[in-house]
This record gives sequence, C-alpha cells and structure tokens, in this order.
Amino acid sequence: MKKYLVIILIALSPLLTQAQSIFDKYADNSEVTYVALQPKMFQMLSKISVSSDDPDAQAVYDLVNNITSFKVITTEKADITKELDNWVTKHLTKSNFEELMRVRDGDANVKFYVKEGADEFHVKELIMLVTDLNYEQLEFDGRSPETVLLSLTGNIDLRQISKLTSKMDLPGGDQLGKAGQKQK
Amino acid sequence: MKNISNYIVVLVLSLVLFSCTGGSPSLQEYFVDKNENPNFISLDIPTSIIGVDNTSLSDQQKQAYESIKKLNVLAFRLNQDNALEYEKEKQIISDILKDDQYQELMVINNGKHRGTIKYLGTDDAIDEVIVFGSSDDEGLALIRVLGDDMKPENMITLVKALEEGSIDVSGLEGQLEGIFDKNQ
Repeated sequence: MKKYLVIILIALSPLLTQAQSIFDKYADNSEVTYVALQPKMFQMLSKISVSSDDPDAQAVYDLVNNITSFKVITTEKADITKELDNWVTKHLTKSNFEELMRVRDGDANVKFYVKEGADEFHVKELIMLVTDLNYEQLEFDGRSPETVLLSLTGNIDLRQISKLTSKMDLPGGDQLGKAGQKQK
Repeated sequence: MKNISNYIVVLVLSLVLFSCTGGSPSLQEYFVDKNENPNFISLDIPTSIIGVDNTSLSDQQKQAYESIKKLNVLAFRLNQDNALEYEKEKQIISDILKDDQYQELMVINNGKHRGTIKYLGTDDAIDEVIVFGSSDDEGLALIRVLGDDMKPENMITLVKALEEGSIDVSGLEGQLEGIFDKNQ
C-alpha cells in the first residue's frame, strides 16, 4: 500500500512544480539564452567581505547577500515568447504570485510578479518579463522580438532593487526601480 | 524462515544499489582516459608556473594562492572530421557532471555556446572547481582547478592580486594559447 502511495506521489510530482519549471524546460534549449546562478554561488559570494567607500556598492552587496538564485532566459523566437507570456500570466497567479506592476516603455511591455516575503517591502521571488508589444507580428515583418524573462529568489528588498539593476544594466531595469519606489 | 529470506532480499538489493551508483566514470577517470585520445589536448599545469611576487601578497592572498595545487586542462578541437565525436564527448562530460556530488555554481547556455562552473567539496573547503565550456564552432574545454581547502573568500583576493599585478600569468597564457590555434 505504501509502495503505491509513493508511486502515485512520484507520478504527481510534475504537477507540484514551482515557478522554476519553465526555466528548467528551456535550460538546454538552443533557441534561447539561459543563464543561471545557483544558490551555492550566492552562498559563496556572501562569504566574501567587501569593503568599499561607495555606499551604493554596500547596498548592492547587501542585496546580493539576500539573493538565493538568479535565472534569466532571453529569446528572439515569437513562439517561445508566447509560451513565456502565457506561463507568466496564467501559471504564476495560480502559484501565490501577485502582479506587482505593468509598464509600457516605448515598444516594450514589462510585467513584474512577486511572491510575498517577510514584510510589505520584501518578496521571496521576483519575476520580470520583458516583451515587445506586438511580438507575434514582428516575425511577419521580418524582425525578431527580444524577450527577457528573469527570476530572482531570496529575501529581496524591493526598495533596494533599483540599485542592483542600475549596475546590471538590464532591459526593464528602470521599471524595476520604479517598482521599488512604488512600494514605499 | 520468511524473515531471513526478506533480510537477504534487502541486503542483495542494497548491495546492487550501492554498486550501481559507483558505475559512472568519474571526471578524473575521464581525464586519464582521454589523455591518449588524438582528438584531445591534455595539459597539466602546476600553479608554480604562475609567478608570484611574494612580498606584495597579503596573508589571505598567499593562503589562497597556496591552496591551489594545479590545473588539469582537457580540450577538444573541433574540425570537419570529428563532429560526431565532439557531440558524443560533450554528452559524456555533461552526464558525468550531472552527478549530485558536483555542486553547480553557474550555467550559461547560448545555443551554440555553453558553459558551466561546478565544484566538489563543501561550502567552506572546496577541493575542485570544474569549468566546462563548449562552443559548437570551436570545440570544448574542461578545466579542473585542484586544490586543498580552497576558500571562496580567499579566491576573490587573488583576483585583486591579479589586477594589482602581483601575479604573473604570462606562463599560463603561453600554455593555453596553443590550444585553439587553428594553424597547428
């Protein structure tokens, strides 16, 4: 009897997947660029003491200390973009994520989703999706959409996030800064 | 009587399981194995090749430097004839590295180009850092940084020392330069 229970649990486990699953799905796919920094990396980074006169650097260091993982997928394929978009809008809201904000910046659409953390300023996970406005049409016009899906996990302070993104120069970084300000 | 036969079944099963996990080749075995393979270039670089100005290193930097023993480098140069081999070896190395003992730090996958950094050991005392990179245009490279009790916080101080010029890596560069030289 126990054996059957175990087998059923194992069979069901794909349904219990968390937000990271779409990242796992595309991790080895050659039509995307995938970068992941694992928790162990951040654990090691946190051991490195940084002495700096730059208060911003200190803030970045503090923020990094509170991050447990970082994953990015970028793609220029409209079909994959569509899948990422669908995943973000449909799957995430079912898994305890709330939409933090949406921004339209020129031709790009940026959406932010967060999973609530310790308090109103902290989130356990932050997901950002940057897509071109009419990505499905772009391919007909012979151009490629530029899509970015990013996930940060940890004990992330939204107020500090703009400092990190300004150093990282990510698309949508400004929006993230505004997102941080919004929570104040 | 029945109890004893149950015991025996469990014993046999656990022995089988134990021996199964030891089945896949270790990275070290792989290195040794490919030493004689004409498609591969294999290098063993002791850290003494890196000149160090002892007087200008801090204690922490010295400790970091001394904890690194050597580098094992294995490189596969891709050409028109060995493409199949390349794919096969790439898969073999990937499979070896999938084992739980290798802790992943970072992974980058860009379609044609892939890279991953993993390590063996505990968070405080790293025994081996493994860098595996592959490029579908050029080939692949597998580097093992072998040491004794390498501490991440000390490693970063080495980076500083590099920047300050207290470490002379020209010897190392000379060794690594020839690897992907297409004229050879």
